[in-house]
Amino acid sequence: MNISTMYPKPHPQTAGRVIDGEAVLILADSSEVNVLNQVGSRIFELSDGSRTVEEISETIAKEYDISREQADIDVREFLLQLVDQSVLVLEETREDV
Amino acid sequence: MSDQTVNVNNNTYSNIVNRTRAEHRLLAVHWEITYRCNEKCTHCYLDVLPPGAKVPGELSTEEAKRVIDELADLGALTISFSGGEVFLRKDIFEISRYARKKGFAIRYFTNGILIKPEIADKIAEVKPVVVELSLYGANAETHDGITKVPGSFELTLRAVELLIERGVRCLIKTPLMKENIYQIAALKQIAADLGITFQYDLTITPKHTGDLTPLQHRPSDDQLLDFLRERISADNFTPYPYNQDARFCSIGMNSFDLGPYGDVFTCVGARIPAGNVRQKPMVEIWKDSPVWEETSNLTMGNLPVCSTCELRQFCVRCHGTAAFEDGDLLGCSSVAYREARLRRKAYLDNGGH
Repeated sequence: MNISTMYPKPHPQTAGRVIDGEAVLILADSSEVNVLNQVGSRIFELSDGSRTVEEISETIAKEYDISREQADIDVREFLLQLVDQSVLVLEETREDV
Repeated sequence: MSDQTVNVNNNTYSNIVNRTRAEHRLLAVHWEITYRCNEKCTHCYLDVLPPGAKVPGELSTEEAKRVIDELADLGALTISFSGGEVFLRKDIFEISRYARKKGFAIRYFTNGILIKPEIADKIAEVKPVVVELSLYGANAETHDGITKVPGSFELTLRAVELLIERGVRCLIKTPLMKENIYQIAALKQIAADLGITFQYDLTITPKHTGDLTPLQHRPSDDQLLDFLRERISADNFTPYPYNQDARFCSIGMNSFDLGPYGDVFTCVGARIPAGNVRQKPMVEIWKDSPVWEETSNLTMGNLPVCSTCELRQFCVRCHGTAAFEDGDLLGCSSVAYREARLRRKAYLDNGGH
């Protein structure tokens, strides 16, 4: 699946907040509290429905000084994990924030 | 970036909670969204109103949404909707859905009476972290005698079953009273049969108006001693070590209580007013009210009576109860002292020294 042009945003049933740069999530299905590390938290923070996966990769590549190609691979993989765990959903249209 | 996967790490979450406490950052809000209730519990700390009462002063739906926006701006994560009976608010699901959209985790505190299949469906759609239901006895006679609503025992248990059927996490909680303290085992069994958690606590407080009537429902000394003797021994209890920086609760630190008319209180127990959201933005109340610093300084070392008390290693106090029942937020809480005395006796009787 090519997700580069899709817009990730929080799953409507997952609660989450970024506190001091760390995303604290309460997952919909398990009600477990989870905490993402720094880069993961930043990706979660950027996934507000207003940016494509491509745009998020670009931001991560700049902020963490990694190659764009590596950021593309890592961000995609990470986002798909979050989608799989009902933390995020991927939308085809942009959401105004 | 495999280390960026979702980490299930409760230590990290504990660290975040501790940090929010230390830095006075809002994490959780207890929201008494109405004082109307369809039960008339004998021990209730609120002076509740009848379910159909006209209460024009309750925050409107739009005001509630504005409050949620402000809570999100402050970084809060959890809202516990409580009452009165929370499902008497006809807009509770509109408010809940809005809060979920804003990233909040939701908890409901309810008696369950109104939870019929269609309401259970709506609750399930909200995906709350948990629904906490009050069960006051292990049989209808005890429970209904406390709620003063015939049939409420069956209705509360029906609610639990409807929610479980829909995959909603539930727990049953019971305040220990003279009427039900000997039913703990049966209550635990009810929860176990349903496959859910059971919680109890000893907190029976005066009403928020100062009325002491609920206190007559506290267990007697003999009942409480029996209860503690079954649970406390030298094997499973260590007297609390003295630490002048220790706190009994997180009052003033990372949470508050919001009343139905927009009043912000330090907590459900102490109910020290910090401001009203109709008069001031929430952020100003949270940043500027002096009550947060005053109450977050209620450490053992700052409680003149407690810090020198012979029972301090056995005592768990609520500052609010000390204020409401004994008239002094900083003074001895007579009920905490009584429980500490009995806790020590149970400990000594069971091999402690």
